[in-house]
Amino acid sequence: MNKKNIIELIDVVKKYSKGATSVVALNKVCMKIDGALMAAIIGPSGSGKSTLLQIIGGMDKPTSGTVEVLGGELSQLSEKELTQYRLKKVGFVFQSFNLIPNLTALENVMLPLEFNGISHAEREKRALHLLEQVDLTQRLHHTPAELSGGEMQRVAIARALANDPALMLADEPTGNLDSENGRHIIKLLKHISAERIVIVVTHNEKLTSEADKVFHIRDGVLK
Amino acid sequence: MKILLGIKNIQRNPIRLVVVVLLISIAMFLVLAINGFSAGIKESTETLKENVNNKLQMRAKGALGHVNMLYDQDKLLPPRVLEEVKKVDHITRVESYLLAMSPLKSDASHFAIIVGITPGDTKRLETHGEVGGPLIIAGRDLRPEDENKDVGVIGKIYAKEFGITPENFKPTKIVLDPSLSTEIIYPVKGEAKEIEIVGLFESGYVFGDLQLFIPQETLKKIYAPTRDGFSWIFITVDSADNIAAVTSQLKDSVGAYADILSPINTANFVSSSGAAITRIATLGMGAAGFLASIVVFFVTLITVRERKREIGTFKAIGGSNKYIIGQFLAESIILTLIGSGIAVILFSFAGNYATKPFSVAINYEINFGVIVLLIAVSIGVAMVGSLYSIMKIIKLSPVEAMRYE
Repeated sequence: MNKKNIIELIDVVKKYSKGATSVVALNKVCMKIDGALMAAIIGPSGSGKSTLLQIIGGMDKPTSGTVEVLGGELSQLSEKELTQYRLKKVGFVFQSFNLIPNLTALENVMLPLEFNGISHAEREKRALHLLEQVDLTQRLHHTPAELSGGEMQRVAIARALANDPALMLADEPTGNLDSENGRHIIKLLKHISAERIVIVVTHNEKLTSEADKVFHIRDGVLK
Repeated sequence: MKILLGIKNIQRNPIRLVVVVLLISIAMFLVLAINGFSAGIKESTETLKENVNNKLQMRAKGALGHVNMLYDQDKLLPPRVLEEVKKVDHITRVESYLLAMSPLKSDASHFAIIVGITPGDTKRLETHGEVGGPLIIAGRDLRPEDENKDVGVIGKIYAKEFGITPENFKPTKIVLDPSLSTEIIYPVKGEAKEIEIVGLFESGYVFGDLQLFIPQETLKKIYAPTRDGFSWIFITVDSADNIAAVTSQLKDSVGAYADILSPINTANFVSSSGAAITRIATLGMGAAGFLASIVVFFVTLITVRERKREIGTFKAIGGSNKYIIGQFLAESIILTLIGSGIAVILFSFAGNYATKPFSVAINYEINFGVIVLLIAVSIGVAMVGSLYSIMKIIKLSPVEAMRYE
C-alpha cells in the first residue's frame, strides 16, 4: 500500500491543562484512513472532533501517541517542517472561514501560493482557476465583507486547494451556512475528495451521508 | 504582498491611522522645531562671541543696563573719559554713543531709543549693543558727510509710528520733540525739531527695531542735555589677548567715573546659558523622539493583539513566522515614514509660524541627519515593539494563536 496516501493515528492523547485542572480532549484515539475518500468525524460538542482534526492538520500537537500522515510522523517534524507540511500537504477550511478581511477573494487564494514561493503571474493564474472552479469569477475583487457566507466558504475552499494538497481538513464547513449553501459546499467537498483525502468534522447529516467513512467520537474516545 | 498587506493593514482603522500619524508627526515636528531652536541659539551665541571677543564697553559708574536707567540721576560718562581712552595702548577704535528716549505715540508706556552716533560708526542695538550691525532694508545708511545734519535711519517698528514702511519708503521728515521725553537718562531742555529719515533698518530684535540713529551732534542740538557726556563708549582692542591689559589700564585712568564691561563675559554668560538651553532642548528633542517611538510601539502592540486570530490563520495556511513578522514590521515602518514625512512637510511650510513665539533666531533648515537618526530610532523601536508582542504569539501553534488572549 502507498503509505503516502495513508493517515494513521495510534493511541493519540491530547490533554489541556490550566493550573491544577486537566481536561482530556482525546483519549487513546486510533484511526486509519487510506486512499482518496471523504471521511466524516461526528460527535457532540466538546467531544474532541476539532482537536482531532487540528492534530491531523499539524496545527496542534498531541500530548502522546503517534500521528502518521501521508508518510510522515508529525511529532518528528520541526516547527519549520510543520509549517511546510501545513503549506504543501494540508488545506484547512474553518467553520468561520478565517479569510483575511482586507484582502480580496483573489488575494486570499493567492496567499498560500505566495508562501510557497510561486511567482505573481503564476499564483494569479492558479487562483483565478480555483475561483472559477468554485464558481466565484464574478467576485474576484470583493473583500470578505462584501461576500455572502456561502461565497466566503467557497473562497476558503479555493484557498485550501491552492497548493494542491493531498489532504483537506474541514471543520464544520457548513456550520455557518444556510441549507442551500451547505448543499453546494457538500457537493464541492465530495468532488474534491475524488483526488485527495477529505476529512470533515460535522453535525450535518447530509454531509455524513455523503461520506465514505464515518468516525464517531464521544468524550475524546473514537468509536 | 507583504508590503502591500502592510499598506492595506494600516488602512483598516482610518481614525486610528489619522490619530497615530498625527501623534508621530507632532512628535517629529517637535523634534525638528527643538533642533532648529537649539541650532539657532548655538549660531547666535557663536556670532555674539565672534563679534565681541575684542570689544570693551564703558558706561557711567553705577549705571544700570544699556540706557543707564536711573531715575533723576545724572548717569553719563564725562567727556574726559573719551580723551583718556584714546591714550591707552592697543586700542584700535573708539565709538561713542549718546542715547535719548522718546515715548511712542501709539503707546506712551513704550519708548523708542534715539541713538546719537558718529556717522560711519557701528549702529549698536540697545539690548544687544555688543552685536550691532542692523541691516538697511530701504533708503541709505548714515554717511560721514551726515555729521551735524538733521538726518537719521530708523528701525522698521519705530518707523510705523510715522507711517513709514519698507514698501512705501522715501525720505520723510519726522518731528523729534524732547519735551515728550521723560528725563529718565539725563535732563533735556531742547525744542521740537524736524529731521529727515533717509534709511530704514531691520535688526532682528523688537527693541532694536524701536531705535533711531542720528548724528550725535544733531542729537545734542535737539535734546540739549544739560550736561555733556556719553551714554556708552565702545572700545575695540587690537587683539582679544590684550583685553585684560587694556581693561587694567582703563580702570587705573578712568575707573573712578566708568564701569568697564568686557562683553566677552556677557558673551560667555549667554553662551553658557545658550548651552544650558541647548542641553534642555536636546532633552526635549529626545523626549519628543521617545514619544514618537512609544506611539509606534503601543500601536504595534495593540495591532498584534487585535490580529492574533489572523496570525493563527496565517500559520494554519502555511505562512512562515518570517512572513508574519515582516508584515507587521512593514506596517510599523510605513506608519513611521508617513508620520515623519508629514512632520518634514509641516516644518518646511509652518515651522516659521510655529516657532515665532520664541522670538529667537531659529534655524529653519531641515536637518536631514536628525531626521534619518529619528526615523531609524523610531523604526528600531517599532521593530522592537512589533517583535516583543508578535514573538509571544508566533511561538504558539496556530490553534493556540487563534485562542490566545
